[in-house]
Amino acid sequence: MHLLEGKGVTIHFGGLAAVSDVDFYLDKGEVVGLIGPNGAGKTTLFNLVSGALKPNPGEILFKGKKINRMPAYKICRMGIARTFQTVKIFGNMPVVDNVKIGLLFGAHGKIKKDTNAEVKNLLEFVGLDDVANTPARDLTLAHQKRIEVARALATQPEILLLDEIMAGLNPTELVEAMELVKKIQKKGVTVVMIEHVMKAIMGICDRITVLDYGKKIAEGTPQEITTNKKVIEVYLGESDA
Amino acid sequence: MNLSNINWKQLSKTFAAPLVILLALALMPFYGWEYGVSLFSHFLIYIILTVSWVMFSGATGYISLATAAFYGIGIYSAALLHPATGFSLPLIAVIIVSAAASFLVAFIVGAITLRLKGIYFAMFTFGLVLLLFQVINYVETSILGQRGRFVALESNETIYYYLLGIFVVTMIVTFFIKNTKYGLALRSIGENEDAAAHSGVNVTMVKVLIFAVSAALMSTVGVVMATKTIYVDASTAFNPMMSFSPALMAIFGGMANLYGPAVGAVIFSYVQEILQTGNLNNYYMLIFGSILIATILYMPQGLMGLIQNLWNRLKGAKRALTRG
Ligand SMILES: Nc1ncnc2c1ncn2[C@@H]1O[C@H](COP(=O)(O)OP(=O)(O)OP(=O)(O)O)[C@@H](O)[C@H]1O
Ligand SMILES: [Mg+2]
Repeated sequence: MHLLEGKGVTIHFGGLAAVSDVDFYLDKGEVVGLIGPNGAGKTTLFNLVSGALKPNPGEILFKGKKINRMPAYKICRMGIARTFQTVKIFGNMPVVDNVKIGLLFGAHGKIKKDTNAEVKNLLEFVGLDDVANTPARDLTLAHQKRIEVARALATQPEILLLDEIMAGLNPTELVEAMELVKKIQKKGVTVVMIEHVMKAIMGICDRITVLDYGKKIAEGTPQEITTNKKVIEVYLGESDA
Repeated sequence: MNLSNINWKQLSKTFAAPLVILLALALMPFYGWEYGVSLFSHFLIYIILTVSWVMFSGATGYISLATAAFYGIGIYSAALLHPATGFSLPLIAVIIVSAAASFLVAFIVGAITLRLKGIYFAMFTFGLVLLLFQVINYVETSILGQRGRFVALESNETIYYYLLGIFVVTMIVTFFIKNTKYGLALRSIGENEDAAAHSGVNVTMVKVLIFAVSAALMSTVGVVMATKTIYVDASTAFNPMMSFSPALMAIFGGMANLYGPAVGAVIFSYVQEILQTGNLNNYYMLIFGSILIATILYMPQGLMGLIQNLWNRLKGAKRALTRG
């Protein structure tokens, strides 16, 4: 049994099939890349897994249990956490409280130790310990994305969905972010990352899935993907790839 | 909560001032200032309503205009269970029944409407006031064939002490919510509902529960006030001003801490009191409106926010002086 499995996952917005009959799976410990041109349906697929949207038709199984009718907060508590492409932080709250929310509500009894110490650990883990008491909105975008990572990790997930946490980072920040993902994998968390930064995807991922116009067009190791005809077509057809 | 973790020094600092104020308020009827008792009752009504309003709407940003509905439920609870003639429950029992009824109504209404955002939520909650008015008005006049009801009168002192008690309960509830994880959740909902939900917060449950708790508190004020008015009917019970006032008082005072709403409530209700005794009631709305527009334009953080800013600037200037 896979850790996570999607069968025929589909969603329409008006006439548009944003995600169309997509099958996918995830095994424990992997880092999987989810790529594809703008508007391919990557974020929408995250929304479907995390419970922000419900597939119709299609089903999503987490450890064999159907989750595609569950509300987002329950899916989070079961062990699937995410970050958002356009950051969604608690701007007027200090960084610590942003993370604390994840710990108090997501982890929900999974943490028996001191929550303050655990928040501190997480902030150190993502490198935000020196801005712990700053209101989240005063941080740079790179740091705000790390708040989201820390908040998601605070919920003690088994699966972490990262939506473009490397977009808009400078080269140093990019290397740091790649290190961070590797550290998360070492913790035993299974990661799916949406990314346009090919260097990061190719460098970290064990497996890559490619979406185009809502359909899965390829799946395989980084080597297989770079030599896949359909993928090359899609990306060469795109001027900004 | 671990008792050994409590910082007693911090705690006494937090509670010293409120306790002194509370003691001074508790002795009010002994000052021989009869007008003071009724004036401070007036203040307490609006402080309780405003603080309860802020408890939910201030934190989440959902502007509720249902205050008059819950206040009115309180008034009608008193009219039915604490009438001038016939079987009458003790006031404290009426308060409990009314709080439970309001909690239930708010819970149901909240579960239905708290999915609505922004102006739609505000409109729906105001609709609740109009709906209750219409229904009760219809039942009273067309079915029971009466206009209003008489409530058993209570003395000014009794009313005052009840309000003071409700005030204390309101403050304790507010303090409790603020200092538990539910306060944090409520704030996170106000900041970003999606992010809260995806961090494990049962957004709907937290919103509905706190909305219902604030509604329960609002209705208890109605119960007590009904014993002052003696005669109540649907239009006095469901007066739309009771929906607008708390919201406007909170915006005027500022919602960053508990003092803002309380100060806003005291100032506005005092103005209202003066105009009422001077028979200038019609000017109230005009003044109210003008001040509110000025507040939104020139001090978006409210009066307490403005004072805080001035204070910070003063401190900054002092520091600059001593440094230079
Ligand atoms: N809530 C929504 N309502 C209507 N259309 C939507 C909604 N969300 C996404 N879409 C549309 O669905 C399609 C897929 O969007 P999605 O955000 O999933 O793309 P993406 O692969 O994440 O793209 P990008 O790389 O630009 O982030 C787009 O055409 C988008 O406009
Ligand atoms: Mg996207």
